[in-house]
Amino acid sequence: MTVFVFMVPSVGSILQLYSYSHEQEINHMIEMQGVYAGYALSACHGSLHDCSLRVEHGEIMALIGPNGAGKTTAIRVIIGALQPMQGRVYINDIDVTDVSPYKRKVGYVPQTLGLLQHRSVEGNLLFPLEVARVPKQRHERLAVIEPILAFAGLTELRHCLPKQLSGGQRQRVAIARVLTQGVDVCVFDEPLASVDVITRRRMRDQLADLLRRAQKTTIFVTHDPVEASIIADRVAVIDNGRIVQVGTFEELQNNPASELVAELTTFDMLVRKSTTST
Amino acid sequence: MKRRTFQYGIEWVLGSFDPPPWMLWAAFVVTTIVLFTVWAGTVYTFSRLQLVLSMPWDMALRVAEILVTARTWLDIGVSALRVLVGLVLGSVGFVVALVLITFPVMHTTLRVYVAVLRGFSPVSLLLVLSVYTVTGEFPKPFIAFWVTFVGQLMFTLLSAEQFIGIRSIQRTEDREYLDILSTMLPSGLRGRWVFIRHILAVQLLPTYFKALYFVSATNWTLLVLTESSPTLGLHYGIGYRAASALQSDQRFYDIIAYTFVIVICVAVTWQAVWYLQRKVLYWTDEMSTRIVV
Repeated sequence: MTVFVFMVPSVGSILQLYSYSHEQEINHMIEMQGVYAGYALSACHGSLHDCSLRVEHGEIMALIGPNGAGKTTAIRVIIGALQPMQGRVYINDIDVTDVSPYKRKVGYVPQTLGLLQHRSVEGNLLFPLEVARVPKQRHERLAVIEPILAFAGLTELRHCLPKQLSGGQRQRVAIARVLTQGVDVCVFDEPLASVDVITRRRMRDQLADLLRRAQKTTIFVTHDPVEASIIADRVAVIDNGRIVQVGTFEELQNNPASELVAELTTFDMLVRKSTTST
Repeated sequence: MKRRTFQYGIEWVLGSFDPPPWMLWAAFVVTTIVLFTVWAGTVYTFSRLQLVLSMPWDMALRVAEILVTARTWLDIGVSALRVLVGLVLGSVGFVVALVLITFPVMHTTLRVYVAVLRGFSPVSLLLVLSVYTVTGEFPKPFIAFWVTFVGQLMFTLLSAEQFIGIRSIQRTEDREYLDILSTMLPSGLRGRWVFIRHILAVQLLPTYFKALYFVSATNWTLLVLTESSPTLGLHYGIGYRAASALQSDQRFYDIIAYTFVIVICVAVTWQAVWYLQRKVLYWTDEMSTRIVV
């Protein structure tokens, strides 16, 4: 019930959203077991090699790793865009390995956010309902997105085009669209990668706030240790297509399993300081 | 001041300077005055030129005379209808290009098409088209269709290859769009249709409009050339009227006047396309809220 603590535009709308996303009290968890995916069974650039990961209900898990470690491949396997060659994928304890992406109830926000540039904020939020043809009538669809617009603080901007919005606002639209889909789990692929440092700091805080309020099980791919430490409950480090360590950011910082984990969980500023001091 | 003017000029050339409407009108008026002055000056200086070219005001009077007769409007109407039929049928080229771009199975075909099209020189293509049209062996709507279809298909395929075609499907953005769509609706034909309608078509529309401007001008010119062919024995159309003018006493005089009429027709067609683009589809910039709903 922590959802009520935050200041939101309308308590009624949040109640509606809360009931919308928690119609069934089941564990919205994600699990990958011994997944091999990509171009070959052997470990190569961007492929998964015996990759196992479990994300608990309502948890925000950051997936960090160097370029070509297999982060994007992992999330494509989870959403169902890529079929694993071996291994199984579970969502809510159900084996979804051979289930189409549509039936997995997973929302995906890519690096470019994937907003339709020719449609307004409202149009972007209506889009998943339109293509799914549920509900049938436009006014019913508008009734579905209304509380989500309020939840994401987009009511005032509903008629704006994506190009008229700031980076943070666009990101909120992408998240709101995922909520409109009524999905159980959300997957983000470096949504802050292409923004400058100052904007990123502001967007990071907004994203963390929004994700916690939505209480969705989330996997969040990032390169940035600061982002991972602020947004995520736990962090998984991936290297050569395999998860090498999972834990809270502090755990990873204090007990890194490898040199790579130590490097990835060290902030640049601290590195610079220690380099200067030595 | 000089430096600023220079900067405006460079920006204009590079395309980053968007001139205000008054500047465009001023440029148009100045250019027209200069052209007419040069024209009048040339005709006045070289008196023998008056056999083929009259003074601008005389020509303007002749164009006005041609335009006020009912028969001219009938000819313009017939030619316009033929152009319109060609444009509508030719739009199939755009659809074919979209299908080729969108379906992965077609990618190999698209590559072959592009390779073949690149193998042709524009001059040889123009020659082939001229043979097709000027010999007048085909019905006019078919020729109009053929010219437009090939024009649109070529233009769309080439620009698609350049901007969003083969590379687009492999590009991260489009793969991401496809991944997002796969989470929203079942895969299959409907998913492809949504991708075409909401993502590819929207990205392609500016290219399509460019093709439409280009093709409408080409279509008018080639159609008029074909209509002037005596082998077809048609009795309507601007081309036929221009060919008939050749038989008259003041043939050069009339041919130039009819050229003006054709230029006006092309300008009107462009204006119609512009109207469709801006007022009907609300395509003002690179994107619009009302283009696909």
